[in-house]
Amino acid sequence: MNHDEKKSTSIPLVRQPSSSLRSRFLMVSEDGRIRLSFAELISIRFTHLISGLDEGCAEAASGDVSPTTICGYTEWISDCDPRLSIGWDWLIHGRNLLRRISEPRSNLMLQTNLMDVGHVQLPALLGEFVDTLKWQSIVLSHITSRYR
Amino acid sequence: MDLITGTSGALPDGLFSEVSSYRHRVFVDTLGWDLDTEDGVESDQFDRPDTVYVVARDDQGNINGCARLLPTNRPYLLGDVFPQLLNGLAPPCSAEVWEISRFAAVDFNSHTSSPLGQFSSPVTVKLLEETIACAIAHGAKRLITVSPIGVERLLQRILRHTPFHAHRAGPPMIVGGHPIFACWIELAD
Repeated sequence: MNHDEKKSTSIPLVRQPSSSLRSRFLMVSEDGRIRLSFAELISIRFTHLISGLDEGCAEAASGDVSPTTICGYTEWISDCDPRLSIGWDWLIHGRNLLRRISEPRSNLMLQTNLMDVGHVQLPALLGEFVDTLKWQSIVLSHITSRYR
Repeated sequence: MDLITGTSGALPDGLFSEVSSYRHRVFVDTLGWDLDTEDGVESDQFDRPDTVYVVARDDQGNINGCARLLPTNRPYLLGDVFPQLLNGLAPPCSAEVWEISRFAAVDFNSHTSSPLGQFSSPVTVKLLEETIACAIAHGAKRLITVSPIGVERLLQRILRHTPFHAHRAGPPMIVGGHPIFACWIELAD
């Protein structure tokens, strides 16, 4: 697995977890998902795995012409086992400002009172989580370095 | 557009050979995958007499898409070669879980298509729909696939208006310079 380790690439915790949340043992369910509550999710540290440009954007970025819009993807994983994985698409338009443009994709399922929120509601909740994270500078730095 | 499904022995004469050449053009020549190939033909140990193929052809009979289906209660790509993509879970082994592999919808006769631009083409949508239908006809209740990470957004988009949904089985991993992942396609709630 390829990690970007040149700089700190872990997203800072949004809140400090209670010890009872950290002690719960996460496991991969039979359907491949890792189930946890939103409170447990925000207690977990994520590390940047890889980011890249979409095909057309990659060709333009390596040429002499700078496009006004650059789009790509980013992937992050948890530091704990089993690994939580979350990825999303982003876009830069203008002055190096990245914004998320897709619903996050993940191997987790959020639960409320130990009940699945379901695959319909999950993306919006994951989006809320991702939007609290300070991922933009890390992705921008990685992309700048990778496509220099 | 024409869609044909069947084992290699059931496909029209010569079609499986054309599929193997098409796969070479897509996966080796265009995408640069490091596969064992010979004489411009791509096939591996999972191309067996019981393997099921889905083949798309344009109106002139040129192949512009293909997919391969394998039941997971016999050897298959994810279980044998990439079990690490399952994040510690044992590879499925069930007649109700089938694997999709070698999925491609590149039209070499169209000047506007590219290997990654295929994700939005009508051929891709129809090929995926037919592949899922074929798997269901063979008893599948879940599908699993090893794919480049860009495939996940394709599946999200195509499956949004269907009863099916997809989710990854674990973190992507870099294999041969390409980030790949395992993805579940749930066919029943």
